[in-house]
Amino acid sequence: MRTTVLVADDHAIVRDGLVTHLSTQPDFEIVGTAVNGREALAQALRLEPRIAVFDISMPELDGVEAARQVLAKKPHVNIVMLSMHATPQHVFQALEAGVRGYLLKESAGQEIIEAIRIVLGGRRYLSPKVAEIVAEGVSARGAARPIESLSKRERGIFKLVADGYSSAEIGRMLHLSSKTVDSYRSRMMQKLQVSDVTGLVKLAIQHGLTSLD
Amino acid sequence: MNHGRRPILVCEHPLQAARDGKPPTRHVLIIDDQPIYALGLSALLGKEQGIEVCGVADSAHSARTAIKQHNPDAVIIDISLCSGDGIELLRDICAHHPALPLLVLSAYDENIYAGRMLSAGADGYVSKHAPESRVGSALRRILDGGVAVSEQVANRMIERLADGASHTSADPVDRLSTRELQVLRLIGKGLSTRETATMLNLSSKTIESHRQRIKRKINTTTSAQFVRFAVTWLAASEGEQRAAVPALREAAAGERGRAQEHGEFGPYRAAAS
Repeated sequence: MRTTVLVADDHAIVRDGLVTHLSTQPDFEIVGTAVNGREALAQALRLEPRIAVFDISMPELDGVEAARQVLAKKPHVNIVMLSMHATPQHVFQALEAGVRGYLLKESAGQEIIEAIRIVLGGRRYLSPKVAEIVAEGVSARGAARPIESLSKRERGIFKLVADGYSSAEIGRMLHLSSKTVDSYRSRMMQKLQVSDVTGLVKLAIQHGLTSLD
Repeated sequence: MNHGRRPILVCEHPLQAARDGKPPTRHVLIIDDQPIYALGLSALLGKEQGIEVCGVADSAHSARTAIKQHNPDAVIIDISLCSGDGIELLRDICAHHPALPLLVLSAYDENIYAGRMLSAGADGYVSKHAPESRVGSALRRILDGGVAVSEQVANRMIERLADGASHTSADPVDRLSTRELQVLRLIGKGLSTRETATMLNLSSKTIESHRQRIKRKINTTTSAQFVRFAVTWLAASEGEQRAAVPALREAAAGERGRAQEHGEFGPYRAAAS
């Protein structure tokens, strides 16, 4: 018996590409396509495909919410999520909603057929990059963040450096010599395991110590 | 433009045309490293009358080989190749094949890139977020020797021309040359000066002087300020693409809000102001 597949993506070219690609497999049967989240939900409930490929960002209803609603009524539908990016939040949300696979679009071409077969076998599939992000996210939650090992003063200097102030300016603000600021700075960079300013700024952004504006 | 005047040895289609009285089939090469997208695009173009996809190349290297091998009538290129050398490739193709119509198909913000890609030698720019019907019409336009951009981009270009020297853009990134934009993007991704130099096939010294110039143009003084600008600019421009969909726009706004909440260094902030 062939595996029934539903493909939902708002980009026509991507949708057609997926259909063409999956149609190369004689044991897959594309039973429907959807151009937005609402259609994806309706089609999934109506057709009850074994596999539903959902783009995470679709108009009308996003992929994660559509997945959640499908699985609430039809828990046997296996949902594989496709996304351009994989932030920890998106991945965790998707997994919490019950999706069985999460793939990055950049590697979907090579992976999706294997991913579907693995999901049909009862296991979950994550693109390697996605698995990496999940693992990092889990270990960051468990372990103490290196930022927490900074003293209050070091953290203050960290933020000011990431905000773009020079050592001289920081020294003036905190009533320290710029030489002192520099030694705080290098000790802190050692603790945080960053070797240059780029690493420092990225870390600051990641931990919300400097805003995205 | 070839219009069937190519030597018979290379392509037999002009003969076919002479026999049937039908216009010759135009062969198009696709350069894109997302297989799913390339498949869908091939399928779309396959439905167009008189257009045939002669190949798909997924890297700069295979693209150069494919152009030599297939001698296409037009090339469609995605400049956001994962390898990072998409724009270099475009320049290269224009230099070696100045008469070859080139259409850029990209997820990058057309407001930032369309004009620059045309200056770099492309004949058209279509956003991957635009309705798919645009691709076929843009392709036909450039095959006919024309330029193809969205109405929005065209209007912006006309406004710029009309304003002339008096037009000062609010966005400092507009003042950057295409090369400087490439450098900014790579730094925003976290590459070092040396890695950027390797990626763009330039010396570290050249990259360093580009950095200095960019720093001045965008009005930053310290290295940290500069890097911060690059990283947040890149995140914001990618975020804009994601946030084109309402559901994710809210998520992005939420993340920004959470980041701002974390300003907990009260005493130092007071000292800073």
